[in-house]
Amino acid sequence: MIEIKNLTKDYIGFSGVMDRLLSSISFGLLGGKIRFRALENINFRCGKGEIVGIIGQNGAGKSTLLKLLTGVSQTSSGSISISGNIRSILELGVGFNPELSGEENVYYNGLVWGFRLDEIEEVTERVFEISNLIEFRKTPIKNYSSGMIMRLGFALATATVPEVLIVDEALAVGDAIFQQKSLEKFREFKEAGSATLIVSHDLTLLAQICDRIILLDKGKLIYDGLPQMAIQEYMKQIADTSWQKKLDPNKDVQSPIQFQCKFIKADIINPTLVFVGDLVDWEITYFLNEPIPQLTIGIHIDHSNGIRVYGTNTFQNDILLDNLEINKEYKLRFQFPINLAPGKYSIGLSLHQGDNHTMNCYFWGEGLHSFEVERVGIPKFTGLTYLPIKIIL
Amino acid sequence: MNFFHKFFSQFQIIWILVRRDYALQYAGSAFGIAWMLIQNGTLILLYAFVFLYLNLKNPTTQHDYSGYVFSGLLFWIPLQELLIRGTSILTDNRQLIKRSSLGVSVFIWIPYIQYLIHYALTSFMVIIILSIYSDVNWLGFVISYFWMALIGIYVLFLINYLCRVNILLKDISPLVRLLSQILFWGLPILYYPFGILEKFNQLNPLNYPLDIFRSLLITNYQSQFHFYEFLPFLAFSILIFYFSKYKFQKVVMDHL
Repeated sequence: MIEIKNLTKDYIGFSGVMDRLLSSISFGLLGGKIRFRALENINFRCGKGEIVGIIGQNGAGKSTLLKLLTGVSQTSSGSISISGNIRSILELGVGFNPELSGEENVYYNGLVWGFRLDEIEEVTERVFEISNLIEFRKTPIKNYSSGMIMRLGFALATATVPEVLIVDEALAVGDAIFQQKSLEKFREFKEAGSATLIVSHDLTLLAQICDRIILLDKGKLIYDGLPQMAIQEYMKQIADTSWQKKLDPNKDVQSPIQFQCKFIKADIINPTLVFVGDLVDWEITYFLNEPIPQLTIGIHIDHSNGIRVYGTNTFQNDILLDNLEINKEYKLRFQFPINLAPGKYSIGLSLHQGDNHTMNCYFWGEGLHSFEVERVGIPKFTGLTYLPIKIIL
Repeated sequence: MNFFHKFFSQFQIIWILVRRDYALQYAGSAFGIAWMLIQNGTLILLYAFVFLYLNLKNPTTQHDYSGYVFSGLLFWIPLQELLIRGTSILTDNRQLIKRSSLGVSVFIWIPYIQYLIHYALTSFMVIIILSIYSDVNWLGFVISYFWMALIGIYVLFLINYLCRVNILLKDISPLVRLLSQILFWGLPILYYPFGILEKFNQLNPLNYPLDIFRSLLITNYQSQFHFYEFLPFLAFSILIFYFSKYKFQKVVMDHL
């Protein structure tokens, strides 16, 4: 179990070599001119059998939080209470020495990572078995491929059930099979009662596995709750609203685009129930308040568990909306079949420039319309996507 | 009981880290850990060749001088290794420290244990030479292990600071090598402390420990320095240790 109360972390940085030197000579009492608050008043809890994701932009404080949890860094104020043994999966394979054999690396690293002396032999056997590297036991790690090192690292880190597991972007480098295996392992640990914290930029992965997601921004906890809501908040946050900054700060902030959206199935406006295979339209009516150099209109469909099912925009479809006139009404439709599995979905809209909304974004909206998909007259299938497959004998 | 159990399990971890450190240092090397013996043995043999065989010293003092030089070398060689290895111990194990929940302090004990091993191994080589060319105090030889263990802890106070500075200033090993040279020539290892040299030696924090070490090892050795000369160094090193663990620790760990 992890409990964090009023956690604040201030970093001391150095302006140059002399500043470092002064700090070294004075035992840190002088020097360190640069002060930076990396985390401010963070409070959260991760209980037994809970998987909590941590998301946020670069510099949000995710890595600092993990450093504090693993005891590498010390808090400036507040408290961290952890009950049980911690295992951290940071970069897989880091800490392995290329000159040592796989067996030696597993033995030494395993013991340092917290495995007991009386269990390490059994753990080593299991690690090589799970990672399918039995014949490479005595081979120096330098002769392993990167995939083999990753497998070995993951097998070691997950060889026994930890009480507290901390994962930092470690799975981003793996292929799909590796990621699936990792997810299975995390679920297994969850069942066994591990408290797991996962830091990742892979929102789909987090949505799949997390009970809760914590959103950090510039060292502050912005949201702690349902994965879907956290991801929506995050998407809003990363939408670049630099156009707002260009406007006169004394005026009310107003988007340069006014719009209206409709979800249409046949002639029904905004239906809440559709069927697999139905043809639907997402219609946007818009006009400009002020001139903009270019406009991209995008849609995204999310499953209720937070997984992004689909997203596209006019730019990606080679439709350039430029030379748009002010105060003239324009209309655009995204027409698509509901090739989705039964379940609850929501549809969102983005208005920005260029390929994606992280630069020059005018609007980013999640869940502008929610609908449920049901299956009628379509054979049963698994997964989130429906492919109209024909079986030819 | 709990204390002993905790101590034993901590020692087990340190021992594993020591073995790992040796494995890393000598991984892929043809002679493996034997290099350590070869290195120290060669050094001792070179000194033996120069000072005993080539008879560079006045023949009338040969008998005393051999004991004097070799006890000095036995004192210095493991301490120098401790100083140099200890400085880089945290930076070399940076990734491991980040991944384990063992804490930094455990890693600082690695060079200390290695220092004790190096001393034990080197002492066997030196004691053979000493027993031929000098009068060895065998009881003192046994006690010297405890004395060297204490001196190692005394040096560890300084290492607690140096290994942290090594993180902050990126790499101070060239500076530490220079410092070790200054310490070496500032100690009466190869020469007798006469006149200005004696004053110079008194400024060396390892001078008194060396003097005691020689008193233990060599029969009829007359101690030439006083404990009160050592007290300021001892007090200063304890202060260094304290300040290294205080705010400095926090600053340094943020930059690991």
